[in-house]
Amino acid sequence: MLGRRDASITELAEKFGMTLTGMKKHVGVLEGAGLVTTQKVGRVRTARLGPRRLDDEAAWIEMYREMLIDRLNRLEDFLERTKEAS
Amino acid sequence: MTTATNESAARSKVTTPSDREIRVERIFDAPRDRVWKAYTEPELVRQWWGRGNKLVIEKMEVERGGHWRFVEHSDQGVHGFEGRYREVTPPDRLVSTFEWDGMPGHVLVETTIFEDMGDGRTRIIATSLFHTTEDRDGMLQSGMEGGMNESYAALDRLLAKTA
Repeated sequence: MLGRRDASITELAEKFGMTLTGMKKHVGVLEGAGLVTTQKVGRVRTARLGPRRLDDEAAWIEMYREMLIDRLNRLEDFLERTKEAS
Repeated sequence: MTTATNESAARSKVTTPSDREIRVERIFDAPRDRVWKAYTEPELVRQWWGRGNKLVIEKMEVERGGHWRFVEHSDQGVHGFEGRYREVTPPDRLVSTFEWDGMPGHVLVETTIFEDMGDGRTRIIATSLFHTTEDRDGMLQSGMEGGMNESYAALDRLLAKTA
C-alpha cells in the first residue's frame, strides 16, 4: 500500500481494519526493521517506505539459490573426477 | 555436454516450500561415505566448494558449535563466507549456518541430509532456510505477528463480505 503513496497511521488502520493502537505497534515494528519511516506533522503521523527494501532480500535469496545449485554442480563434477582415486 | 546437463537436471529437483526456503534434492553417482567426506574434509571441500577460484579454508571445525570460514579469492575480489556447525551426525545429517560477508546479518540455516540409495548412489536433500535480521532479533515474533494476525483477520472479514 505504501508503495503507491504515503499514508497516515489512521488511514492505514482504517484500510486494514485494525485498531489505531494495533497499527501504531505494527508500524513501529516495521520502522525498527528499516522498512518504513514515519514523520509527525502536527497531530498526524505519516508512514512512508523506508531505506531498506524487501527487494534487497529477494535479490539475495535469488543469488544464493543460483550459488547453491552451482555448488552442487561442482560437487557432482568433483565426485566424478575423483571416482577412480577413492 | 548437453547430455550431461540434461542428466543432471533429471536427477535434481529444486522446490521453494516457502519464500524463505529453498529445497534441493539431488542424486549423486557416489556412495554415501564419499559424499559425506566431500562435505566434511577440508582438503576435499577446497577442491569443489569455490567457484573455480582459489578457496582458502581459514577455519573448519566440523563439530557441534564449531566455526567454519571459507574465503574465495578471485580477480573480482575477496569473498568471505562463514557460519557455525549446528549438528554433525555422520554419515547422514549436517546442519550449519551460512552467512556471506556481503550480506551481514542475513543468516541462513543449511540442512543437508545424505541418503544411501542402496545402489552405490546417494540422494542429497539440501534445505536452506533464510533468517532476516528481524527474525534473528526476534522482532517478527514480538508485535509484528500480532499485527499480521490482525491484518489477516481483517482480510478474512473483507473476503466474507464480498463473497
